[in-house]
Amino acid sequence: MRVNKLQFDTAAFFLWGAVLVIAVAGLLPMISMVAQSLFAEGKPTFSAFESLFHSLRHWSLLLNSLGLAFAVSATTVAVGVPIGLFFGKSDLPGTRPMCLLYVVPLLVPPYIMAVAWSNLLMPHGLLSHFLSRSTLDLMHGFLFGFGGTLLVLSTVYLPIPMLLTIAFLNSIDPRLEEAARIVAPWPKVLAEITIPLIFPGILFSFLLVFVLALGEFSVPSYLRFEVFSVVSFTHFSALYDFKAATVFALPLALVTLLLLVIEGKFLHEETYAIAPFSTGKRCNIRLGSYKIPLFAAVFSPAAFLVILPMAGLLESVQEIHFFSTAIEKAGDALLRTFLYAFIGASVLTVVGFFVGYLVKNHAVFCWQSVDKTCLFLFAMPGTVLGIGLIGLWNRPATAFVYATFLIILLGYVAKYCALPSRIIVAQLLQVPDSMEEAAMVAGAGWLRRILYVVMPLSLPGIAAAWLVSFLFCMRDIDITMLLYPPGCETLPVRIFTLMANGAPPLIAALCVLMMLAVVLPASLLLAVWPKGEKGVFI
Amino acid sequence: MNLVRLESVSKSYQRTVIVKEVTLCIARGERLVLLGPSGCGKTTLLRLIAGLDSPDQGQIYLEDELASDGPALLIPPERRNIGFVFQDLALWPHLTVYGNIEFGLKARKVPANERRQRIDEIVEIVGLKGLEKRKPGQLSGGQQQRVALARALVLRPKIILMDEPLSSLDLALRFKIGNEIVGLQERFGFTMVYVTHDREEMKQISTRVAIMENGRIRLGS
Repeated sequence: MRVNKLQFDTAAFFLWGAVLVIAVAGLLPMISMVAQSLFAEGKPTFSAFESLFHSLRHWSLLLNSLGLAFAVSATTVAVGVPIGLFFGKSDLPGTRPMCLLYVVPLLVPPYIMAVAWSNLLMPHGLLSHFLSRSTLDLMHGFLFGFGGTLLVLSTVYLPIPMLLTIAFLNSIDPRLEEAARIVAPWPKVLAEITIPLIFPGILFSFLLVFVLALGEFSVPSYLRFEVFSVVSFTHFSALYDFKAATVFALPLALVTLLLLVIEGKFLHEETYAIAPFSTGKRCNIRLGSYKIPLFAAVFSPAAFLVILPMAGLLESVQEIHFFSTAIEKAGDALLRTFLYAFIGASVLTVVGFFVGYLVKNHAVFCWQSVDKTCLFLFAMPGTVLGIGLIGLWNRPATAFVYATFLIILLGYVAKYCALPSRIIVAQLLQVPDSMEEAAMVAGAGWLRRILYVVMPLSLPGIAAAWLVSFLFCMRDIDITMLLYPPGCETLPVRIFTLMANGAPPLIAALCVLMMLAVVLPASLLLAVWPKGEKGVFI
Repeated sequence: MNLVRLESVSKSYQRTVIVKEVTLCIARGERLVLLGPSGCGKTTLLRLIAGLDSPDQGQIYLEDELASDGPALLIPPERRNIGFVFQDLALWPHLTVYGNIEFGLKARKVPANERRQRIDEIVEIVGLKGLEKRKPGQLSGGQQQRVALARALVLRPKIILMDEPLSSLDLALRFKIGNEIVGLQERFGFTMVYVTHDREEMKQISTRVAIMENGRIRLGS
């Protein structure tokens, strides 16, 4: 439904307000960052960028970054799509718990998986009971470099193609598959009907993983694989060289922009067409006697990629008192993490709702730009966004923002707004326009229609948007690491800073604590959330 | 010999009984119209015959071969040699008209030469000549209807199940395509089960009528 001429002030106030929030939180810092790097002593100059094109190291860094991102995307799509097909299209048993198991690495700060693998392969780690010292050394060597970074990042981002595959499968009209089932067996139906129909989703997940892997800094930094995001972060945090950090950030921003252009050109609005909420009508494959062997086949990667490193992490805590030390050392940071994530998710859901509404209804003339900006900011490496925010707000006059939690909140809104807004768009597309039109005809004003018609009908989407935002704020390290003011340290940041010289058992205990803090609420919510009709897609 | 036989077939969804102990025989070459109000179980009955769902109880025989025995699906849908025209047509949007018609032939491993010949023939018969390269979204409602018919007919099935296939068309076009369907059935001699809630359509299509109400067949004439 179009709300073209915002004749109601309330609509203009809320919708343009959301646009303003995105502009201030995300767009302005990026523009300011680029502008600052183009001026030296009040005069325009490209000197900062000249070295970028002349240094061989920069080209090698770019190659490392792109190569890693491509390898991670290809691996996650190759493994995640078949798993998603099993979860979303078959009667495989234990789908919900197994899906949650796969999602765990995405829910926690990514470096935790790197720590887990590292602990697993330590001379006294869990695998030392089963493997020889030379084998362990060999594997340890593999972990610290391209191979290990690829393994960890693939584990972290595997849920994205998996979940998007399930969501896109949910949006297929079951009749299209049934029409094919009349004449062909399931493998042919999957190959020629189902997969081509969800191809936009597969391509979208590839691009999404690509940009996320491109911007990820904590894992390559821990596993000592040099990429642009790590160098950019180091220049800023260690050397406080704003210009060099910007220069290193620029290639990442340009690649992100290029990928978004590709997404816009080839996928158009197809990526909105996901249906994260089950309609309860699906055409499922009955596995019959293959159920048990296929269950084993789908469970094995989870056992290797998730359970094994987690077990290694737990084993390296060694003694129970390390947990009490961990709580003593980081209890305040944990509480702060919950509080910040709660506030962040609530603000994100409100802003995301209005952004989603204006995108779905094309309610402002620049709705496409707003949508693309949100996606661009989400895809943008957190370190780049953080540098932009610091460059804009680090002034005496704006200390009330820069020196308080507000700067982190701005970072959350800028970085994650695409998540709630896209979820809300997908939900709103399932609510017929006639619902709001009927309220309009009955004489309800815009705000009344939103509060009493649109919001109640979009409740599952709003709840999902809040939950996803909460989890992403909880796990955030890229934004918070750069932005946290004194006394505002979150748990992921506390662990990351302690990792340099903290005792390994204590670090392991902190990682387990972080993991429980994210996974327990997620499991509880998943357990109580209704299945099937009006429920989530799993 | 009956082509299809249903014996005491029942089916429930979420504790609601949709089809109740239906016993029905469908003879070779007849045009059976299943008439009844919305929600009476007509579509479910077609899905059970096609093997897209399995009954909770009862047996379904195809040419005296047991195809469904209670929840056990003994013959999968693709081996039942049945054509199905869905209410919303279910044309694959990513395939052309030619691709939509060809899909089933390829699935049955019909050689390329024969495929082309059969598609050319059916395209000519249903009046889609020249539109083979178009995608479903580029066709009118009537043309889409013809693609759905061609897709079912090209496989030369023994029986075609039609689930309110004309419901989305205007009255004039509905009458025209209804006549064409009858013409095609007489020409090819396939058996047809046609679901509708429209009495005019029933009169136009049927050689026999079964009235369905609350999941039961009340009357067959």
